[in-house]
Amino acid sequence: MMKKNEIKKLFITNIESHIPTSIPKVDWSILASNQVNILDTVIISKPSRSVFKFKLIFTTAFITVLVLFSIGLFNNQPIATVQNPYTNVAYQNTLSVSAVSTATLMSNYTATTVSYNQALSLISKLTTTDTVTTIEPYLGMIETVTGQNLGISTSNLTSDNPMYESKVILTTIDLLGNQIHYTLYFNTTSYVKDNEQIQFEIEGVFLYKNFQYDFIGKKEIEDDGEIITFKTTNGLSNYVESTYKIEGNESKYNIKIVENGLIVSESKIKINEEDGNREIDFEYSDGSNYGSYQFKYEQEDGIDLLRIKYQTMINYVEESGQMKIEIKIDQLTGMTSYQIFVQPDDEDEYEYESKRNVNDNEDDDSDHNRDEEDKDNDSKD
Amino acid sequence: MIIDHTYIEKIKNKDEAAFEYIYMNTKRAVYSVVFAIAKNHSTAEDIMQEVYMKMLSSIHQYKENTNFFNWLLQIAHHHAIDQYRKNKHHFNVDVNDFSEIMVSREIGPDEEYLFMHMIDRLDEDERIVVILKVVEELKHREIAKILEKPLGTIIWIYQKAMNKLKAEGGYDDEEE
Repeated sequence: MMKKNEIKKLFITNIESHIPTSIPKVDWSILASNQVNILDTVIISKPSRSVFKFKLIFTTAFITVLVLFSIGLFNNQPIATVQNPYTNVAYQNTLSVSAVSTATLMSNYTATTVSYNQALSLISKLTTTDTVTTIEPYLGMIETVTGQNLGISTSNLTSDNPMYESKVILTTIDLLGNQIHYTLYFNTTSYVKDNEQIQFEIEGVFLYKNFQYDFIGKKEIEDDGEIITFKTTNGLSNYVESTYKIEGNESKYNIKIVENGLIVSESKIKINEEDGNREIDFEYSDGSNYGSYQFKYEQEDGIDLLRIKYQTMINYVEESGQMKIEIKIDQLTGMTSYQIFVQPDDEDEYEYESKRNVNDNEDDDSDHNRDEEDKDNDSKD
Repeated sequence: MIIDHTYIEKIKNKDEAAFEYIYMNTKRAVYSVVFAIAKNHSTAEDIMQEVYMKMLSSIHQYKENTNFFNWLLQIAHHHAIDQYRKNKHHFNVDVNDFSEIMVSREIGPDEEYLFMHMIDRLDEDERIVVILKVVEELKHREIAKILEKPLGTIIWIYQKAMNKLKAEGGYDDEEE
């Protein structure tokens, strides 16, 4: 096996040794004369009879289109143009991260029989490891957003649902190396471009782990900058909302979990990317409790894991240290859980096992989705 | 990379020195893109010259306040693909053709051979992403803009390609 640095060195040496050193001779006169010829044709030549005919036909056609367009406007018939913000590189990644994080958090509702609020309080009562339990509900989200450093892949497909004009499949990879697919069907309900600034709103449904959620995504321009919000809901008064905002030199996702109209949790995530490595800063704040966690994907002895540095202030107790999260597979049932190794700075190391709610119910259709994606990508290429 | 707008204005006025400056600062990236598609050094040299001529002849189409470097690399990408489609049969070089491999003066035939073998294992997108990232040290975000592909896709392609290459580095042991 070659090391990454050896590969890089080989590529750099080879390419650099072949780059031509001499500067190509530029024939400015040919370039200039080409442009002059074009101008000459336009200015000097007289319009021929066929050109006149063409102009007449063109003008007639233009007026006809204009009249039809006006009739359409007066009849209030909307012109069907599909604007899909997911095709815009500038917002695609933000929308994808927002969608994946809100859907993964939202799926906790369907995965537990108790409410989110009850689940949180139940965990808190049963354990003393507040530092761990605080981030427990977010581990699935972090795992999928990190995607083994590969991030989230986005495929724009032709919608096969007559209710929606666009279809997007988001694909990420979990710590076990399994692909996880999120399918979005949506309509663009508004798309406004003003002075190079775009505002839009999309509405549709989200398919994840055999469940369907509703979502609304929008980008707005406010006085202090651009905001992209993404709200995933189970149709009741429970929802998860991500708000992406650029503040100064920093951009963060604020994530809010709302149950029966009440905010049960608020957190912030920031994704730093350097040389293909993703680091996720996660901040949690709940009244007097506060936690800051830095997540990093790593491989150790061939095992994929998440490494965390943390600093918390929970119930007026300050704590800092490191954690390591691996996935444990039950050989009998195939069920997975998080095995968390905690090493506080001032205390002894301890282990903690947490329920994992990622990909256990992955449908058998995932290969089909992948094939469809590949086919679509191939056709684009 | 950001090219000062004054150089572009100077080029419009046929300034040789400005062209030289732009060429020297962009040639590595342009060559990388073109080679990634051509997979052949001598063809890449020819196409590279055409790219700069194309850039000059279209300079009036360049929009101010946009990234000139990205614009130039997009021209390189599209032109190389065009040429590939036109001359498909000339582009496929047999990596065992020693005359093609022995064109470099600065590296040995073994390294050249290994490099060409590795290049041959990657598809077109993987070659462009890896070469731009490794040789030109562009960020994933910049490559995404040049290739007009989502950032996530570029990162995905890069990781997949690097894993292939890491594994490919051991091919000598397997084959020999």
